[in-house]
Amino acid sequence: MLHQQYNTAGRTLGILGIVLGGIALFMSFTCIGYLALIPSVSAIVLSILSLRQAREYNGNKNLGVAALVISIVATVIALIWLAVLGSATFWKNALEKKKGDNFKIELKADLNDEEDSSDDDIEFNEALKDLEEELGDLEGIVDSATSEKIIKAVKKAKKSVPKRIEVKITSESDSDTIVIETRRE
Amino acid sequence: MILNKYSNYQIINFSFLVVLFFVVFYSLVFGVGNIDYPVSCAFKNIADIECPSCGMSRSFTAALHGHFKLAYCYNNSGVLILFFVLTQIVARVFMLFIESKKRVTSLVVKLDVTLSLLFFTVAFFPLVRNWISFINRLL
Repeated sequence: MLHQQYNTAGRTLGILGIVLGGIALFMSFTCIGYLALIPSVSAIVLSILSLRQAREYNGNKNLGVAALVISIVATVIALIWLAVLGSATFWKNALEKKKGDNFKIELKADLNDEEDSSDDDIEFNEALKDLEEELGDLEGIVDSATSEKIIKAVKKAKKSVPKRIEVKITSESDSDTIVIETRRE
Repeated sequence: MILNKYSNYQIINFSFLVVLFFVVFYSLVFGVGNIDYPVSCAFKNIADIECPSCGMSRSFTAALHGHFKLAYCYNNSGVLILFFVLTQIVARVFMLFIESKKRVTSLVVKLDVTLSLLFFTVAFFPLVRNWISFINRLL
């Protein structure tokens, strides 16, 4: 069987292209994916030069082709990253608008007024205060996904507080307001 | 030229080994729970929203220190990617050793490339899936 003999034309550039392409591919998946454009574009240039040298001086084109494929994939991912980054400000504004359109968490609590001073109720009152503070932190405007999480968390907390406390959650669809009401039974 | 003494495969293996070692070294330098990494996410800086790649360095650091649950919390695809990096380090060292004994055939190279690409796809798939759902959610 006849084997075609190749020389080393395009070898160094091909190796550099593969290594830079590999680095760019890894980089493109990180938080600085857009910076992967620098090594990936360099790798494309190097692999094209490698292929040209290999063609002119009968070198092996495999390295150049592999480098070109890897660097093109890395460039595409880096460009997607750049597009995502470019629209970041737009998305920030859109998300804030979306949040405002969704739900408002309101807390109605009148626990302090009914505080009991007996020793048996000290622990009970502390639990009430803790719950009130926790719920107070939830007040504000949130998106629908967050509101669902809050409702789940409150339901879970309800199980752990003394049975005498009632946590009432009502969702008023007209006003898109979720009212979390706490009171002693 | 000194590079002519080595085969293409050896040079590429060695170069990737250096890069992979750098990734591990970068992750090991910092302590678990550290937030002062020199590289910050540009998307988070602009939009104030964490991107799916956020927490990757912290995840690597936590996993390398043996805190796998914490690593998963920082970034749910970090542990698998770190596993890919570590297996690649072992593979590159092994292949360099085999190549030094002149036992690497074209079949071995093809097998190495195929398996590495396959594992790369598997390791990065959760991150890609997170990115796709992230972009869909924003749109």
